[in-house]
Amino acid sequence: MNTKLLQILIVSLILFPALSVAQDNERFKISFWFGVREIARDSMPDNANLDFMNYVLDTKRRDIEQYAGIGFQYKPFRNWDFELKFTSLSDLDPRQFDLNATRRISPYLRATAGIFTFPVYIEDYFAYHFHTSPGFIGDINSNFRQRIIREWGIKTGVVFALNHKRFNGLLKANAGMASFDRFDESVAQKKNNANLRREFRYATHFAPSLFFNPELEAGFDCFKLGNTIFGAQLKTNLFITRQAINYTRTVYYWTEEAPETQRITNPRHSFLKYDADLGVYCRF
Amino acid sequence: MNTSIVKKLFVLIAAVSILRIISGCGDCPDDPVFFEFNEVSISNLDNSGAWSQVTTSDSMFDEAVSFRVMIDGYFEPVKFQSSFLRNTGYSSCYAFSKCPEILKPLHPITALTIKTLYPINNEIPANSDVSNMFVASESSWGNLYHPLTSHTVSLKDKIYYDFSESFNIYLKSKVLNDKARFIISVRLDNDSIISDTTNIIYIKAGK
Repeated sequence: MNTKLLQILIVSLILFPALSVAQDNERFKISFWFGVREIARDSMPDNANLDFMNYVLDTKRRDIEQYAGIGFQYKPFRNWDFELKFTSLSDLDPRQFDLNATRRISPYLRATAGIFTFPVYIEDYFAYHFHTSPGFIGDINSNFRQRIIREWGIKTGVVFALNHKRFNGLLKANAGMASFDRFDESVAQKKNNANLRREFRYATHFAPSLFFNPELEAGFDCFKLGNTIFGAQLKTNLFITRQAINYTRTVYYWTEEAPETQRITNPRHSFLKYDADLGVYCRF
Repeated sequence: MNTSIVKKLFVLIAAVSILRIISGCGDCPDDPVFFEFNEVSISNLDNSGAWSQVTTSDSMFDEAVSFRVMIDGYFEPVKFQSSFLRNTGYSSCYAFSKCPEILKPLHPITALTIKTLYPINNEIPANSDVSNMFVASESSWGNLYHPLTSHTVSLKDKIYYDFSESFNIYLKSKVLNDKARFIISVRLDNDSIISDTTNIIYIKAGK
């Protein structure tokens, strides 16, 4: 199913039934923010198999990413709120989202669950074949290789809330499972001064991993116009996991006949994403 | 309706049709123009780099023996003329500025055989059929080759837009001889065979 259609369906399923039974005390919150993102992951030495995680673009190899986002929070019942956040990197693709449902347990404690996705760039991954295929032209396609892979995850956690006069703060401790989505890649090679051609085709698998995801949100109500409160907010979000990209590799020699197929399990790499942003909100 | 009015209408429609005033929109005609393959010619390829290219040199690396095969055809003008019915009555107009001419060989290619005139190694002496040791590719780029037999099968029902067929062939084996030469024969479905012989290829050792 089209991803955008799926997103609309999820939002509709949650918000529209809730709207129909909305109580008088319903509250909305709309927020905008700009922030920076750091990606870090460890590298491992090349071995007999291509490890795509070695080519995840981290902030050692590129500038810190910047992003903008918009969030909608809706509280249809006294103890429930739903939040949908869209974030866009410099590619202006808004398909990075975070959808959460939160249940208030006490004035200071809440439980939350949700789904999320965010993109990660990998690039130049067939550099591996250049230095592991002596005698061959490593990649006969001279175009630069870069692609976006998306991390998908489900999470649950506890939220500690603190509201004091014009200050409101949330400390979230989330955990869950996440995996990069699947993708296919192929690289064709040719032996130097010879007719031999071969092609490696990679088809990655889902490889779920556990993650820890603490978040901190702090807001300050600046002023009030009618029934609408305007404020400023600071958010930070840390995503820590150990992740691998596993795949099936099929190698063809000369023609598409009699390929060699092998299922490859790569070692897990530590992977960290850190977001920090500043923004404004209004509640009504 | 009055019979005389019907008659007048019929005469009017017939007159308009004969004068071809009204155009009838439709698809391009799909009946092909047939032609005959009549000649094979061979060029040497330089396949030392990423992509092969035609070369005038007669030397090749021992693992890079490759050729471009061109099979030319001709058509008989009498078969190209339009039928009487197609030009009578309503004239045809198409959504294309010009309909492409669909060409089909009267006698398609059914087999390719390659014979070596020099030994390739100790196990493959001169005058051996080495067809199975070659692979084919329609173009000089692309990731993988096709087996020669499946390439031949794909030519059977191929529709052409000019009167020729061309493809590249690549020898899979290393040539352990200082010379190589091949006869390439093309069999058509009427059992006629057209063939050509490559130049003498001087083999140089790969680096």
